[in-house]
Amino acid sequence: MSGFARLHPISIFLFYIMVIIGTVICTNPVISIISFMAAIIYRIVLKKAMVIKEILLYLGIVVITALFNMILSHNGQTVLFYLNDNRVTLEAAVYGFSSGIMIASVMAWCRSLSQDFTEDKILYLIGNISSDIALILSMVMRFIPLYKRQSVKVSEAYGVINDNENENIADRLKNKLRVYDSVLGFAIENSIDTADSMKARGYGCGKRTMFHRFSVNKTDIVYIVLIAVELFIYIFSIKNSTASYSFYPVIDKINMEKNYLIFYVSFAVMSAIPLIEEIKWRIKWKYLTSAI
Amino acid sequence: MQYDREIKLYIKRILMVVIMIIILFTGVTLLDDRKYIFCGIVIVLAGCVMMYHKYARVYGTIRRNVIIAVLTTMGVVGRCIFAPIPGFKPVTAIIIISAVYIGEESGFMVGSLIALVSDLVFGLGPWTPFQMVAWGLIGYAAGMKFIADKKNNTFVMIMVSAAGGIFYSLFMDVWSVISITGVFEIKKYLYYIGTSLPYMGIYILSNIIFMLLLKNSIGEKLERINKKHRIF
Repeated sequence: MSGFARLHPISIFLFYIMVIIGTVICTNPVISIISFMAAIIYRIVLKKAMVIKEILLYLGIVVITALFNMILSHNGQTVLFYLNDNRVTLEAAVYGFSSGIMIASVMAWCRSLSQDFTEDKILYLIGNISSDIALILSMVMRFIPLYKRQSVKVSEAYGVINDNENENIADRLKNKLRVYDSVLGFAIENSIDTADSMKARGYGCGKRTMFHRFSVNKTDIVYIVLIAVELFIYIFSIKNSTASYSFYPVIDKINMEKNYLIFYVSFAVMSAIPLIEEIKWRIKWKYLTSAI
Repeated sequence: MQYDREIKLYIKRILMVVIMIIILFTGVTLLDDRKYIFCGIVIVLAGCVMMYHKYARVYGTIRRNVIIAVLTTMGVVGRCIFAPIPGFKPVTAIIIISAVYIGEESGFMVGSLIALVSDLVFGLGPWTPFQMVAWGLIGYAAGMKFIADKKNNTFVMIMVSAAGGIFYSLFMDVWSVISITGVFEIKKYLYYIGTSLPYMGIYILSNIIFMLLLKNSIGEKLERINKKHRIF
């Protein structure tokens, strides 16, 4: 478990929502690049050499999006060359490149989201919204291993019954379907028993409570405040049109004035939160092991 | 007591609509170029939340919940088994068959929860709400009365599953257009439909194959359980 995943689910959720939506809705390429760098560095710190394939995939996405936009969009003034009597412009290429980096960073963030945001956290968050959905989800999580075990049992039993050595593909498919059929029958018949016994033990009367091990501590509060401040700066810069950047008809210059710098730096600090937390945990671990 | 609860419910619903309108309004006015992605995700998520709300209020009995959990598990396992073959999945067929028996709202639940849980396995992302709504709407449509009445007619069921494949492909193309190019234009949308045509073919084919394979096996069990316990 990464250091960031030890935090309270709400702060993890707020962070990912803020960083993903912040990356998606801002057209400014500086923000996309900051977000991409932060996501990639976090992935590298977590997984070390295993991310090389992932990074190649992201670069491929960037190239493909840039090419797509170059072919499809003919806006912009700087003509690079003509393709089938259509203009291929520099602006379209830069726009495609920028949105490619945006998509790649969102994908990288989603990879770490899937890793940090485990089932218990999702159940905790959804259980606060709707207890029915949380109940169904936790049942599904339980049913998957149960049915796997049942299907192994059923297929062993069928294997004893028809001991056919020269099976072809059609026979094998037929056997698979029979196993599926009987597992489904087992599942549906048993489900009614589960429901009745839950009802007999008083499901649904009285207030629902939920078991969880999460507690809000100081670090969570600090990070939530940080995210809130960043949200404030973000909305303010969008309103001030600091965040906007236009590609057509000519590419804007990248502005480095004071309020632009505040915008960039605040986003960079916010997107470095998981990295900071991970490094903090590693230092703590080193210190603890050396103390033994 | 009853009256109080009714009023609370209406206040909750009005609040949900107002919050959604505020978010959409700020999105449209503040954001210039990427507002399509933001507003798209907001609309889709709000639709899901409202549907869940309605389900929990009107249909949320424990027996129905457990049956939905079983069908969802079957869909998720089906998607995981066929993961290596792109596009060739039994999910849409399972959703349609179950929705025909368990009704429209429950069909929506099965579809959207299959998308949610299987994306926990394959990776969550901004496309998850779109998938949830796409499969949920297939379930909702298949559960409607005029389709559900013809559930023993094989030809109608094959047509419905083909239509489900076409709808899923077209709906997810909306997402790919607004995520990759940032704006929604009909020309680009048609281009994307053109590039995803082979996938649409695979979807339709797999839906029809799995519909024919699984129709009797799932339908029989649901019918039997319904005859025995009167759940749906």
